[in-house]
Amino acid sequence: MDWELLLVIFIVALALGFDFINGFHDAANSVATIVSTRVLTPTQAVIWAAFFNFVAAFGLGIHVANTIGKGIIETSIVDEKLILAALVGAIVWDIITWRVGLPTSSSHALIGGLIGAALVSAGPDVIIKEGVERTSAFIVISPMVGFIAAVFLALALMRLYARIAPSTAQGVFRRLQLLSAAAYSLGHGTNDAQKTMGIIAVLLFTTGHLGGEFHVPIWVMLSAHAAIAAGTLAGGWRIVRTMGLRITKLEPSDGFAAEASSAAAILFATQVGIPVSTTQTIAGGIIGVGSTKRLSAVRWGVAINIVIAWVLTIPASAAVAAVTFAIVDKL
Amino acid sequence: MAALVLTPIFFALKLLLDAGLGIIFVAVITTGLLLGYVLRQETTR
Repeated sequence: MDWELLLVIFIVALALGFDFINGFHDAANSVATIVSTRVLTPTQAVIWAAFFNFVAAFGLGIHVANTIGKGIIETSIVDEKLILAALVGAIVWDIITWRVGLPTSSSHALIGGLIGAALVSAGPDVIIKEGVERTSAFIVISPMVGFIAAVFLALALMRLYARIAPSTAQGVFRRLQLLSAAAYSLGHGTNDAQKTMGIIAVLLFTTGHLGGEFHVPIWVMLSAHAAIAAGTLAGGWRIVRTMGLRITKLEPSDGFAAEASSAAAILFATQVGIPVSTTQTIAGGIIGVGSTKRLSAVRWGVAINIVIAWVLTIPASAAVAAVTFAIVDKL
Repeated sequence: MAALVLTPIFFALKLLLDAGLGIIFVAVITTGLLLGYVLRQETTR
């Protein structure tokens, strides 16, 4: 077996590992609200979320994969070293921010990694301005849309709630939360797994393993969704142990409003081919629901950390990827 | 109820995105900030 093929296999495995870690990290977002409202046990919730992470492989398109694969940098300059550097940049930045507790986005880290490695490899001309602008704008737009949609939905549900007995309403929302959690996991699965699909597809395309036209093979789709679902399952088991200590109690209607509005925001971005942070979008949804009760009750420290993450993630992961590319290129 | 609230919001977003990235950016941020201001007024009374 030649070394080039071995390197491609290693990078594909690294990309799937990145996807697994993404599911592992984000498992809490997928199950937190439904567990805190006691609709499902932690174990049931984790299996529910992982199932819909995987189901998202079917029928939700590959617009985000196309954006990552050929919408951020020119495919003509992509090679194994560039993708390796981009993944290392994203993974290193994710680990650093995980250690210091910043809620960063793996998606933005991956885009920063691609940009940093491409800048060192071929200069600024190979950066596709339109793709970077759309993605950068949605870093802010997506959580804000989660916030706005959650506010309107929570207010509408409050009006509805006032007309029916609280016990009846709570029972209805407990069942509806099964749907909203499933929708959120679908959105998380499709938007996040597609980033890995895009990275693997562009690597295969530029190394001549994909034929003459850029596309995402079915095995790439299935393995990316399987990796994120497995990550959710693995992360979820860890959450099972700590759930009792960490989760704040939410009303079922609040959980439903936050999840449904975030799911809609993520699915909208997915359909228009824009990679977004699922973590920051549901944070926007939860802040929106909290704001309808009392604005001062919102934990603004979380919101401030998100803003810090917005500013830092792309430049920092780009810097790590740039240094990595410079080192790998000399080997 | 959720569909009644969320569907118009996302149709509006699609229209704004088609109109231009700058337009959707300014519209969403302005709406979010205004909504935050109104909620602050209403919930701190």
